[in-house]
Amino acid sequence: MQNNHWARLSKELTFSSQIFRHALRAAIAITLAVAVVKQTSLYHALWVPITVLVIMRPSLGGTLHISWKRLAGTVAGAAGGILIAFLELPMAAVGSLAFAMLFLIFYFKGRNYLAFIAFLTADLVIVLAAAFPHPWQSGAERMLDTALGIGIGLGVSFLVWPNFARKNLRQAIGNLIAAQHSHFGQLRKAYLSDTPDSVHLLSGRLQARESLDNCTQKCTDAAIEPGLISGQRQELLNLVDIFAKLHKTLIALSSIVANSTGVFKGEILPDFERLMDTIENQFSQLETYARTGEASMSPQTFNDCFSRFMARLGSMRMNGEFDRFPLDARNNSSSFILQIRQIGDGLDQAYAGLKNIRAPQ
Amino acid sequence: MPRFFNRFYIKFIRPTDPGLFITKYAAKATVCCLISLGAALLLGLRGHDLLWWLIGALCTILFRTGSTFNRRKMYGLILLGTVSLTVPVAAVAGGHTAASLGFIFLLSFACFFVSSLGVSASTIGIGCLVVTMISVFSPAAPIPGLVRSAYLMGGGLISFLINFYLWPFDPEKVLLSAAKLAVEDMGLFFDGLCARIKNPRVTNANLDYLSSESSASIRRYRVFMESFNVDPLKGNKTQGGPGLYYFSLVRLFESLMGLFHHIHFSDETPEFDELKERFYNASWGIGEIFDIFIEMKSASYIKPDFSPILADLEAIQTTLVEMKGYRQGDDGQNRFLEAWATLYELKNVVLELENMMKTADRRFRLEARSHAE
Repeated sequence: MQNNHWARLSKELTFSSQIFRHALRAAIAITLAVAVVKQTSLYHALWVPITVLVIMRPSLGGTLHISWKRLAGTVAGAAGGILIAFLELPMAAVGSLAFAMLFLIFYFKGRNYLAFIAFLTADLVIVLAAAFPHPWQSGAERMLDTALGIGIGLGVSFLVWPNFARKNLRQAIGNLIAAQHSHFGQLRKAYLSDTPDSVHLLSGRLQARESLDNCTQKCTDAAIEPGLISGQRQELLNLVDIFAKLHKTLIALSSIVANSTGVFKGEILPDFERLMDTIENQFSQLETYARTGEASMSPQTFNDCFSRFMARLGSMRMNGEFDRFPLDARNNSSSFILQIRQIGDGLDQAYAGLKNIRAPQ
Repeated sequence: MPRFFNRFYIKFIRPTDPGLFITKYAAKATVCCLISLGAALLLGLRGHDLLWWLIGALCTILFRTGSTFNRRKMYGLILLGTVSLTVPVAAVAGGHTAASLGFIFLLSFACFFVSSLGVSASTIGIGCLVVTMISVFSPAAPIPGLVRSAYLMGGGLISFLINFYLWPFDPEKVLLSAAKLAVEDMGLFFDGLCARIKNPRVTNANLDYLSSESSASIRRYRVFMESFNVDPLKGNKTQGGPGLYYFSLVRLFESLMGLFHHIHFSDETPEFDELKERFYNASWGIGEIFDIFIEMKSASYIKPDFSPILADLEAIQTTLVEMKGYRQGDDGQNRFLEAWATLYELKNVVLELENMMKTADRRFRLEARSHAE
């Protein structure tokens, strides 16, 4: 285990490693903040480097994101704290309020960063205002120090190996499509099996979910970075929505897969497999396009295949071919096929979205 | 069901945090700080000594990390051990500008670099850096630096003992509450879906919000299982196992998501008006079953009767068969496909709900009483 840790650390100990660059960037920014504070002899010296420490994220977009939340939370909290301080409450009331705020700080920690920072700041300002003569002073200093820390953090993020989140987007989107493709493959196999392995299916879905969360984070960070035009920002956020919808459709498909094997057996099976192959091809082409920008997909391919399948299904139904199956199995197949249509449409939309991001008007 | 229309209830009053987890954690953290403060005052600590004592107590709670109980304990001790070493060094270095800058540079690089080992290492690193920085800005000679470190350890250990030994969580209570919360969230999601059958003004965005709340609740249940050293993926229908109930929650959610995808089946289709009404009535009954489980007092609840609902669904099925959708051309066929799929998913919800309750009875040793009792 310890050897494994050392191996991981030594693997990252190179200038080309993102983690190494981030650590170096953060170290430069924090040291710079400490140096500035030592030179300017600010009263609450710690607040500047702490702000830098908190806002430094591996990507520029991530740093921008957390910076505005910290700034907004600090301004709101400091303003609230100053207002309360001017009420000149008795010491016992200040103490109770400070402990009540402590509860809110712990409550919002990890849930809502803006609220967490707002209560933390307000608490600090209230306590300091009780100890020092000018109630407004701590609040104003807190705002100033936070702004200075954010300025230093952002400056270093822009100047030292700026890591734009959009640089890693291709990989993140490609990984997400691969994970969703793999999960779809598992569902397809499980649907035709009499004993679907639920543990395996759930692990696949959790992996797809992890990739979705990772990709969503990267897209959201990239959308806030400079260098994109507004249309591209919106397209990035739309793309995240499309992939989230695809994930939900895969969840819905799981419920169908777990409950019945449906009616796609016998004569209809080759047509069904063809339709499934078309979807898998769509996934593969989309992944290649996301990673390299080289493949091309035609929405017509899926639509044609789906229409042919539905026509075949309709004629077989008219001939009573499915009457031998229980009604539940038939309903299961109706539901399954509708989800397949949603997946096919979703993949086409994702392709269109990716195309728009690559070639903005 | 009216709860669904009550945004205020959903956003603010709904117990997303049923008397434990975040609330309990926050209360526990506050109490840890208070008891540490009380102990320090009893020991007669004042000024900077008291401050370092409290910093120790606070950092043990604020930088808590680890996915299992044992790991959280281990990481808490690692953090306390590390800061007790770096704080005296920082106190000495703080007196010399060049030394303090060099020390801070190396320490910040190390703290950010260990994030390659994972989230826990990253949290410990940040915690260590914050506490050490406080020491850098209040320089001291080596001996006072060591004394500072001792106070830090004292406050931290008291907090640690309360956190992990004197006030630990009861896993079964936590899991049952998490389970009830997950079912409540799914119940709300289902209420939303029912409302959608009759009221197209219930938007997909509303339903998306409710579905993500449900998903987060199920995920929370899994996270709590993991934090109690229970593998959520261990167990399935045939073999049983600790994760069996988690699987039944997941399947219930899957069936709700399936229903979500077809719930618009009757939009602008006058021929489905009567059917819509019957779907809605059947759904009402299912919503009440969700409520029975959520409103469970202690470990007992009145066992719901699923048979009238299943009979209603059978009757809807017969009506749909009699409407002969497959003879109605492409458009008609598609509309009927959606209606069949809705019925199928609604039935799935009922079956999964029944299964979830049975599994819950076994998992949490619940007492499901019949109406007669």
